[in-house]
Amino acid sequence: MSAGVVNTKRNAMESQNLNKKNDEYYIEVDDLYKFYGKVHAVDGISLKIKKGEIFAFLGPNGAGKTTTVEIIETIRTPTKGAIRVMGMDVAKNINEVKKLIGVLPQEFSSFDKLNVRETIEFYAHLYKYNISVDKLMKLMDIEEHAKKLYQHLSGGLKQRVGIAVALVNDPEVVFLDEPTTGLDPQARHEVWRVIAGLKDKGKTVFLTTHYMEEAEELADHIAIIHRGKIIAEGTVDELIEEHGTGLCLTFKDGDGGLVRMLKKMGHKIKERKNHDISISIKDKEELIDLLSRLKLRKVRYKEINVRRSNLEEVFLRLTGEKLRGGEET
Amino acid sequence: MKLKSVRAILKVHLMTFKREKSAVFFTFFFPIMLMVLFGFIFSETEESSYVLHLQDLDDTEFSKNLTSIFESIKSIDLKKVKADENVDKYMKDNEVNFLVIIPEGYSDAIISKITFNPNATFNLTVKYDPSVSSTGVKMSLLNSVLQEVNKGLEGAKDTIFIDQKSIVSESFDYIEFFIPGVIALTVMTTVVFNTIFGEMENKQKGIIRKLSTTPITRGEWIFSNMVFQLFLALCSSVMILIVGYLVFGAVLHINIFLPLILIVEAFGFTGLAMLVTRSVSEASSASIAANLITFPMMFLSGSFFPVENMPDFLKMVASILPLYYVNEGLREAMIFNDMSAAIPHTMVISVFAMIVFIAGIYLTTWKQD
Repeated sequence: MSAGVVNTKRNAMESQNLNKKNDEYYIEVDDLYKFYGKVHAVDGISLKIKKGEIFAFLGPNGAGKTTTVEIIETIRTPTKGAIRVMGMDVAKNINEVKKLIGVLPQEFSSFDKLNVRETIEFYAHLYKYNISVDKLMKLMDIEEHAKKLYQHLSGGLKQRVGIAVALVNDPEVVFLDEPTTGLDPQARHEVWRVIAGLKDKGKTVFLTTHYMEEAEELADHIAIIHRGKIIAEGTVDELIEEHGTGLCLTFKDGDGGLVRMLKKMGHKIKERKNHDISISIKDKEELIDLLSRLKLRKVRYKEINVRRSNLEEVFLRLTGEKLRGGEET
Repeated sequence: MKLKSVRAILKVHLMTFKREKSAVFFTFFFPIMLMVLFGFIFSETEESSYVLHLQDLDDTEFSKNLTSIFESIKSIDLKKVKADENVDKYMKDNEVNFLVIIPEGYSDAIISKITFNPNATFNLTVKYDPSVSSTGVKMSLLNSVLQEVNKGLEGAKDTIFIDQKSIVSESFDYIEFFIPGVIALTVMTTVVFNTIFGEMENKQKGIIRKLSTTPITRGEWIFSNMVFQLFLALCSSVMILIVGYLVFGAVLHINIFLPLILIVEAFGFTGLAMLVTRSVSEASSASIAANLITFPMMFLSGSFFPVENMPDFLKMVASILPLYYVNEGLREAMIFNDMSAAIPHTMVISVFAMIVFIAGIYLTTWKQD
């Protein structure tokens, strides 16, 4: 295979089709269901994802994220519902849709005995239009590993190769299904950098994850899925504003007197780890009021940390369950 | 079918194969070891010629000439039976299972054929016991001789005497019987194991899932696999033939039917293995599935021993196994150089390959549902 097969030009017909497509929404999911016997893996999901945004589909394992994304990617058939990618009905235009999307499947792996360059070249040759393998390796910062066999790559590098493979056809829409699962924090941050770069290139990214930090870090728009249903949707700020618990206050090295005082003042202890005590408060005014009262009563603690609510707390509040995996980051 | 995609997949298979040293060993050297081992074990013990009893009732120069043709073939040990013998009694008394009779009138028919009646026909009588193992081979030998005699008579220009050299292999012994069987067996096992385990690995690693999101079609994927397996099959066969010649001095006819039968065999078994992988999801079940396909065929299709040696019910089983037709077709082509006899076997394998290829495309899916 020649390394530099470059052809970023779309033919006239394809361009014409693209112009006709809905400019605002690149992915539209309408009332989607997927049943496996009595199990409703996807239970009436509707979504609209704008062109050029990073959309994060956040939920715990088994919530229905992968089933949903695999239906959109044409891997699975829905029980009911309609999906349009760039204005095209997926059910009726599977082959056309495949040319426009790039997919990093969950737990992506490739041929062990091919090196990085050969892996990307192989996938590039499956498309009529593909971009330069060298350019892709540069974009993913994997040029120095070009000759390494896939089986010898680290987890983070494998995922970066996977993303490169997802981009070989210069897709408008990129699906990344749990791209950082199983990676160490450093590798995860490398992948985040790559994903953020995709947005800069104007790609629309559909990211599924169970890491709330990942969604908070990368996403313009988030939908939280739980048991096959979307339970909340919006930007990070909107979700925290609407469903969060305000501010989270952590006292470092607080003693028993602090706990008693907080309870007396009507605060519920959210978390207690060793001598660190966390509570939720509504806003800045409540924080000032609380700190003045503690000072007045000479309650002792070493320091305080204040942060706003996060998606983990949003999820906990909405479902009463923890978003597993978040603690790994 | 996009050739660019097929080429890309083929390249992946070849590079993967080249870098997987154990695969190279098991594909190329294991069958050779098998052949050498079996060759040495059996080549000394097996019958290298077949006894053919012949009664000449015509007793003319023409019938004597035909008799001398049989006598000149090293694979045939000709026993002449007196014209006044009652053949049924003779066969019973002497435990003869295969007897050819040249009836009276043979010379008249030949003269008629070469002078004024080109459409004249004449039937030799063959009395045989179908339950005896060697009668199948004897019948093939007889057919080969008669085919050549008929060829010589067709033009009716010179003489009824024929060139005997190309009738059958000069030294037809067990190893020459065995080599086509080893080739057929090697192609089947290589193709089935490579395909089932390869597909299983691709499925488990999510490569199939990834491919299903690209424009490549299932047909292109199956076809590429078939072509790759065919390449391995042809390489293995060439190596087996070379080693067979160098180690055992086995001389077999190489004609168009060898690649033709191997092509349809490789395609057929790749398609069958692709179909089987549809229901295989674990490494252990892949192993069971591959063995389920190959193991019975290995012993029931006549790769090691003639099917004629088997009991009747096993012969019936053999007749429904695709490898049986590969073995028979290859032997007809490579031992007897009998194209017309190889055609029906090749046809059966071709139909089988077509059915499984089409079924492979329509019955297997990349959908994860």
